[in-house]
Amino acid sequence: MQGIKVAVDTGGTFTDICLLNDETGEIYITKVSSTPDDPALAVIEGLFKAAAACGAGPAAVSLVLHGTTVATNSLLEHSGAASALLTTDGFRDILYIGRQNRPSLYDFRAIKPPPLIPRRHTYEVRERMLHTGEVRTPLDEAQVREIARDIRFKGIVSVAVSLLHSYSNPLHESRIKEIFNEEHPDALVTLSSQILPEFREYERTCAAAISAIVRPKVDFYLKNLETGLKDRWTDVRLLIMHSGGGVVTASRARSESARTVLSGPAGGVLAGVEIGRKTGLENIITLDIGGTSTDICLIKKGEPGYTSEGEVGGYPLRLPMIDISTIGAGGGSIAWLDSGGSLRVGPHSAGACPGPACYSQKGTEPTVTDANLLLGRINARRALGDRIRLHTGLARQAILNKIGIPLGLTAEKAAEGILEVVNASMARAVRMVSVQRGHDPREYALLAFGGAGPLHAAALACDLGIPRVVIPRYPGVTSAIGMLQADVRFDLCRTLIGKISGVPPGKISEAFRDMEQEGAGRLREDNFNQVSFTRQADLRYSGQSYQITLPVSGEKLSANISEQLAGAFHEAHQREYGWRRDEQEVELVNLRLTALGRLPKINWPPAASSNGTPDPAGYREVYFGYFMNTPIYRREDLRPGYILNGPAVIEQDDSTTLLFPGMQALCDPYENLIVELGG
Amino acid sequence: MSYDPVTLEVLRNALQSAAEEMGVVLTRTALSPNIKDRRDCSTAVYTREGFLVAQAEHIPLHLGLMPAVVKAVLHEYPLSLLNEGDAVIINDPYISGSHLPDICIISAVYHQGEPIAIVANLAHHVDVGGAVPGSMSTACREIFQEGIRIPPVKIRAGGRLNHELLKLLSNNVRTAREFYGDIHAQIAANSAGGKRLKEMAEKYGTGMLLKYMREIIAYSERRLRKALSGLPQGTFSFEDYLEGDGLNQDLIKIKTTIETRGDSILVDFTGTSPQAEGPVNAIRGVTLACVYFAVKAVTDPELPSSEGMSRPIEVITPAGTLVNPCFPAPVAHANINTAQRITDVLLGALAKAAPDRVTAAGTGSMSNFTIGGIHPETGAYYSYVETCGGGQGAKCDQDGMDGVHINMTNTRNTPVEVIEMSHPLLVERYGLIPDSGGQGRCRGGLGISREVTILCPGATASISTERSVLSPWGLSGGGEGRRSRCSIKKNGIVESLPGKVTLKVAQYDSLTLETAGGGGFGNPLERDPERVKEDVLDGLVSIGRSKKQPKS
Repeated sequence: MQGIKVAVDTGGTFTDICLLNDETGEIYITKVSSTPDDPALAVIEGLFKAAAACGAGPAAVSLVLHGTTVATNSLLEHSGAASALLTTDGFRDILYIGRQNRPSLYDFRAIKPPPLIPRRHTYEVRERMLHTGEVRTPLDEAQVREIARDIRFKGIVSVAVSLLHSYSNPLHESRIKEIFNEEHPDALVTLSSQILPEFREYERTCAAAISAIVRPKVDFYLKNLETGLKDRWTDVRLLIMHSGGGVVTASRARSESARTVLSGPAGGVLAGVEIGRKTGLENIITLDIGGTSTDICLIKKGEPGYTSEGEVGGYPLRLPMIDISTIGAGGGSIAWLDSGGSLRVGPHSAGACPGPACYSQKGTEPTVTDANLLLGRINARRALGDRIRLHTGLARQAILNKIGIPLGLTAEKAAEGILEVVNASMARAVRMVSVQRGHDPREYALLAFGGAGPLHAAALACDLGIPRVVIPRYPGVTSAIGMLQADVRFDLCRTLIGKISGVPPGKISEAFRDMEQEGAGRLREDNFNQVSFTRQADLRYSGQSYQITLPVSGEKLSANISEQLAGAFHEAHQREYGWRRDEQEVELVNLRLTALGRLPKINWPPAASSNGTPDPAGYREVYFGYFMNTPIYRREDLRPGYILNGPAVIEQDDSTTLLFPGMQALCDPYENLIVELGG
Repeated sequence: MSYDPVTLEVLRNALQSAAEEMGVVLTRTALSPNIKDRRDCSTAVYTREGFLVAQAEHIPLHLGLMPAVVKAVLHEYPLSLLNEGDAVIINDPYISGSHLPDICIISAVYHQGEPIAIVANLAHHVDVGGAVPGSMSTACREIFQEGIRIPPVKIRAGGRLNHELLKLLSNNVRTAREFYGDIHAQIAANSAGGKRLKEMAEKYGTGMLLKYMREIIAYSERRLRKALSGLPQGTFSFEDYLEGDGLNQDLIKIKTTIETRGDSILVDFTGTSPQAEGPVNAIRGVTLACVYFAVKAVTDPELPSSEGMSRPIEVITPAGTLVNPCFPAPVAHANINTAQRITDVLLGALAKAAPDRVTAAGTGSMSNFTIGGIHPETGAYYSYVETCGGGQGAKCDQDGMDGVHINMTNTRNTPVEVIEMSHPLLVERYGLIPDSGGQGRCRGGLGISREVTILCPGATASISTERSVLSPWGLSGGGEGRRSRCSIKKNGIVESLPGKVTLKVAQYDSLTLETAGGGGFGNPLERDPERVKEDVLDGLVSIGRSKKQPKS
């Protein structure tokens, strides 16, 4: 695939576009305002603009990689399509009861989110499968026909089917789909056994229901977008980012739409993997701080963690996804004093409107951004590329009124306290993904991006004992850049529960072979030929409920694969939880296979380094315990090989980097800033 | 100000995160379904004097237990006898304040030779011996019949496990393998917490850490006092009846009188019936948990749990009564039923002070459902234990939730697919019961119905629920919730059962438990017609019922 490759990342406020000329290696970046009512407008407008700016003619753009929030938003805003659900007879209320727990232990008013699909659109089907896959009650096909006609009559076009034990035997679900094809051919039918063939009926049903709900919107959006793109560039290919950190063809994203939910932050993690590969820093914690939230992910030896325990809007979404933790703290988070006299920051955010007090849009609550401004850490005149002018006086007033005066502190001390508290909650989130899972943060580098990441990273790293911080060249559009590194990816899973010592190796290799064929088949259908596989197994001590996922390496499985896996499991359990019991039986739960269709990558050559230090663009008073006259640098003035000593502030259109006294930053051959914390 | 509000918040975060990390280790590595799936467990950090500083609780029932247990154990096992690497085990309710299946493990944390804190965790084990599998018989008369009673003893000393003791204990439980695994997980949880606390002492200095542990306690106290001041002042009484003690069906009175006194509160249970013969007696720690829950929910639901929470609350529980029994009264089912009913009574009294902050009566029980026996395929004991949610009582401006656990518990259900994979059982039905919520401007939540068929011979089943006699009450003119019902189907013939029963079941018998709905709030005629329509369309309320008036 030669020509121009584009990544488009739709966010709440901006749509980021990153255009790459494969031949020249040139990269062009732009941001346009998002158009939430019809996100395709911003995407197409931005793309055309970017292409024109680079002088790319028709047929020049060959590939568009796209991260979309259409699915997530329609779910969170409950604006998805009216959908119907088919369940096993006797289990109509599965989405109502869920796991029967309530969201808050003590707050009577905190209620469960509404059921994904209302009871009036839920149909019980006479059939019953056992966990062994044996049919106890055959499917009542006549009843299914009636149901299909009723659903058609109601004008519902999206249908989820989730029957008990369908992970073990999907026969009845598949038959229902066939019957719908005859009775209600316009229906988009989503089978739980297809989207998530794993046991635990509530979670599997949620996956099917989420997919059904978001599907019509995603389908419509992607169809239009693809048409719009092809009108301009006939041979362009549209690939969609999914939560597993890969891309799929637009047509697959249209039929398995749940996979595009929670795909947003995946691009940033891919950027982390790529930067790690180039800089040789294999262990990285990514920190993406935005206006209202912060995303954190741990990458170990070049591989991000994966989870199948995701959640969105209070609903479980158990599809394999990059393990990204999100906390409600960002630049817009509001600082407040609680009734016990503790200084708190967030989870409430000033959002884009009124925004932080310093935006002078009538906001009176002090935010993290106000604190950073007051301490001189961000430039009042250069925020967001001159789009907004910030008012330090308003920031000071808000901080003094709400925090400083009640606590008897100066505005500066109060601002410092706000930053310390918000850093503490971010540090706690980083500890949750590292220390709490047996990873020592001191062995990691912190890769900070998003508008506010580079501002907080150094303090956070100090707090966590992380020795090194990496700031990418374009922190504000790192997610879009990361998408350029995506491969086509399918994550497959087979449930195979049993004591590992009793599972014949032949059965394991058969399951993997089966999945390889399926994965290769899908990739072939989509015209991807450069195929590779990675294999994993989920294991636990017999009797446990949580499993640990371990790699299954080697081209050919060895005969003593069971022993190897059991040994690796004991070690992993010790590492993660601090204990092991070698005499206890290890149980196999799932086998997983990832099929990758490799997309061609650009190979940015490292730039030649030169020794030197740039000239500061100016000086400003910046607070580090007291105000210091601090040099301000422009990011674009930093050449590979340059070294900067803290204290320093480095400014660019999309972000600001802060160096504390005693820290040193080196601009590496890929123009990343590598900050050594020293000591 | 003697403390720095920033350091307070930073250290509170860090200590809470240590308690949560302990919880992660415990739930992820335990073997008992009660711990790993239903999360009937809590983990906590204390000052070295035994005052609770931070707790990761998964169910509110542990709110009163965790503060009490460590102080009680330190009384018998002073710090001078607790060395680094020691772990004390205890489950004796008359010391620890719960019931026998709740086993607690306690360790002291040392930094540079100096004790800096205590860490502890409590977890509901699947079996601790006694009369029936699961150790939850509804028919015991003495605690001795309920299982093995462990006084505070060292299960680990100087980092070495006491294998002799483990052998003795595991010999007395039906599921020794789970017991071993869970004890391991509990000890590992304390180690994880200890490690984190040592790092904090290293970073902030021991003096600073100790000071701020005290400040966190003072902080909770301040917050609660401020919230209590917002309640109307006065004396508010309420009473209701527990439906029998498992041995007989006589009603047992629970009475409370709440006096709001400025920034503190007095809760007096004088007038409550004497302790029962059957296992429904609530140890004082359980009663305290109910009081803390009700006060926290009504005043400040986000209040961090710590010793400071108990300081503004005075609780009178006359000895020898249902809410503070004397040894050796049996106690196993107090957690399931009595705790929920005590909470109902407290909310009933608080409704008179602040009706807009409470709920009407809810399902009134954790509705325990246990089936056990010998598994035909493995020859080993199996024990399926479930607690079942029901309707939440309506609030002044919000319907009660349908099919949830309320008040003192919040354990998750076992997925149907997991039940059938793990036990010789078949779930026939699991759903909401239409029309079971009390009518009102806001309606009560719906109860849950569950029908299970036993696929092999020789099983014992036990059901324990409440509200099968007295309906859950409504508030401000709201109607009553539907009562609970239990039944067994043998050869196609359905026979009804009492709310508390232990019985032998034959192969292919089916048991049905229908939990109670919640009471309604406000005059049903004031209900928004649009919401009536929605409920009818969804079949949650029938057309006939939507037209009917509630009985007054």
